[in-house]
Amino acid sequence: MTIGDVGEAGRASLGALADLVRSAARLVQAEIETVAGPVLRAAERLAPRRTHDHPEPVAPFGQPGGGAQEQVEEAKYYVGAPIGRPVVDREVGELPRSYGTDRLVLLPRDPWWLFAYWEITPASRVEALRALGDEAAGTREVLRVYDVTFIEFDGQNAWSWFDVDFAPGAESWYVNVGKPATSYCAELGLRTASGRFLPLVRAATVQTPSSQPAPEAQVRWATLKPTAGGSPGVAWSGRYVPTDPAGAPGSSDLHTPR
Amino acid sequence: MGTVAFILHAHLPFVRHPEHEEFLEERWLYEAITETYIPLLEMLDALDRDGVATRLTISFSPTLLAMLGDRLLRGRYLRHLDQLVELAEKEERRTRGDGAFHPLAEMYLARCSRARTVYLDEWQHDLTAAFRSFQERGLIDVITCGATHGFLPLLAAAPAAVRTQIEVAANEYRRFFGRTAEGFWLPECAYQPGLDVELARAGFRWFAVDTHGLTNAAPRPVAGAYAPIVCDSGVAAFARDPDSSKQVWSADEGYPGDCWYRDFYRDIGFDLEYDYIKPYLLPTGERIHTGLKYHRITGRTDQKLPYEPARARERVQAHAAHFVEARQRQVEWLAHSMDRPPIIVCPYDAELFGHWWFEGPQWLELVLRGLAATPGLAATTPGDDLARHPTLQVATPAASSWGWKGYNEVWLAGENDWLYRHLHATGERLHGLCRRYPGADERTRRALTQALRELMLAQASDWAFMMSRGTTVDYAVRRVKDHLLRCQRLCDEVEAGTVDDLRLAALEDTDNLFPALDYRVMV
Repeated sequence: MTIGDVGEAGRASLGALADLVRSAARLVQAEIETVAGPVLRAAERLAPRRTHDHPEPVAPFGQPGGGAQEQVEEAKYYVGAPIGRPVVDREVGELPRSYGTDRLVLLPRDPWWLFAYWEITPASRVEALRALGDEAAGTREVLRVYDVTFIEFDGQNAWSWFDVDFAPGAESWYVNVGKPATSYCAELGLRTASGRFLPLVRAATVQTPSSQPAPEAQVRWATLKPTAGGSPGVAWSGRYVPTDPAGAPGSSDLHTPR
Repeated sequence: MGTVAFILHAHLPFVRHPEHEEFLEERWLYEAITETYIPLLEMLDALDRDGVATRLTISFSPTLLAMLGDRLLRGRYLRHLDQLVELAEKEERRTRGDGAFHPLAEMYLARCSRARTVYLDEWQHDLTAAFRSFQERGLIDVITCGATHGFLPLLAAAPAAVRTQIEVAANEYRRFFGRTAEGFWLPECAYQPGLDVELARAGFRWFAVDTHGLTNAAPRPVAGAYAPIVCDSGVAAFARDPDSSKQVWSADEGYPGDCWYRDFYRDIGFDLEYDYIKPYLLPTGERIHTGLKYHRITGRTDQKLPYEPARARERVQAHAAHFVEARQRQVEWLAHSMDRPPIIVCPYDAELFGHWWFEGPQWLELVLRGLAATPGLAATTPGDDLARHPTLQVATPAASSWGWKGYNEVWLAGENDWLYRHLHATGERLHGLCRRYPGADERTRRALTQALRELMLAQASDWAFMMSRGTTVDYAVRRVKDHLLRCQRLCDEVEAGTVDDLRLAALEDTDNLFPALDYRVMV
């Protein structure tokens, strides 16, 4: 059988195969890309289209017979012989559009990016605009992001800040903060035409991860205490006994590196 | 002079669909059992019988433990196994006279029959008991991971949710293994400062991070990734060694891509004539992997040649020897700059061995034998290492994960970022309810407990992962929505005092993991 013989179902199968490669154990994703990449891409070219083209970290486990989404759906919702006990249907309805509380949450994505999502209740919006009175015209909602590294933020004492003029109606945004190992806070609020900022909700502070080794610093040491079982760290019953620093009688030396 | 610590992380998301006779995604479990967990047990048995001085760490996620112990899934697995044996028998008959394929058919028949014997006769469906017995015999250290494998840094906006993932994991482990777990496998090795505090609170003593979790730790660890550090909370952290990972996966040096190894794609489910193979496919007739594969990788070509087990075995021996020798050189080089023997931590998904890389368990067994026979090297576990070297440098690991790009992006991207507002809000709401009803009546207790199950099922990082990968997206989205809606509806009913008994019982019957769970763990 050659690629040329592959019909419609076969092409779907090839897509499934591409999924399968990725669906194997996840390790160093870049490496599996190098090993299997060309075959994956060949398979994908022939298979019904996925929505993404970015290089592949692999799925946690095998997803056999993935194939075209429609075929998978049919397959998996195939109902076999009826079984005589109460069953739970798929839930009807959608998740709530909102949860009725003003909230702003920051999630670090990597050393240089934060993800922010928010909800502002209609009541809060109305109240805020009313408070602005004449200034209400020409205001827009913005996300103000503060660098608060080592600071107890009180709304005014950040090292620096910048505004994100997100698209009107957005409820989440990716923010390119650009600084690893930095603490960030944010407020969602209204900024008037004259530049006055009225915060509506504040997020909890988060840190971006570090992206490089720390500079040299004073080295501290600590010694772990043994667990309640007596031997340091490990409760043992079995053939292999770790070397006991106190030299307990009968402890075997099988694992001491020589 | 140095030790090597293998950590195998065995995990599957909770997939159980009693409402359907057969369900596609349940096959993940059956394949893992047949192709990975049973072969690993066989490996441990061989090492045990030969008295090989070895140790390794195996992590079982609580959802996997739940599925391995579930009666419905055990019965379905046996049915799957019986079908596999039947197919293998037919294949053995069909290929008689074919010099290339008949020995392979015989090999699979022997393997499938052996798997059935191990599963049914030796362990009476209870594979967890098997691993427990190897732990008690001193061969392995079994640890666990987050209750439903939640990606903890992204759940931390609702701190009670993180605490619950960790504490339920500790409880479930104790239920299955009769002792306290020492080690905790952070799902995806995803760490951020503060998580170790929660681990300490639950009694865990160590966890693992990706390499840069330690090399970027603050202050800088003097031993890099080759000795553990201890957090201020008293929990130790071990880092993955990149060299040994690369040895297994790199295009230049990686083992599983060797042209003599079994090819994963050429499965008889796709190759054989339709009417013949149809009884072993999906009920809809869609072709799937059966696990019987007759070809080797051969090279970058579509013309795959028949698999030759003897030649593959030679490659396994060479690769195992290569790995051990590389660790020896690595240890010699590291030892010069270290005050204590280096520990080389080699974590892998368990399912790499056997399912993806057919020869994996053979390789692992030979490596472990090789380490035992090599002066200056030994296999160890992180737990052993802490016992032997209890004095550690104090440092805080860097926020990191072993996912693509090393941080949170895979689980926080356009395809899945919408999840978190729902997970956080629902978690907070349930937490509030749990606190409001500290001594609930029986029905309320059951409802809140089931709501907690539903929340945790929604929190599985697997769903976000699948969405990001673009595979099985609809199923993943469906799962998250269903579980969150079930949780929210149970919360509505508790608040209104209108808990629907019948529906609650049905939910308890379907999403039935963690039978000993009590909602008060979230208080």
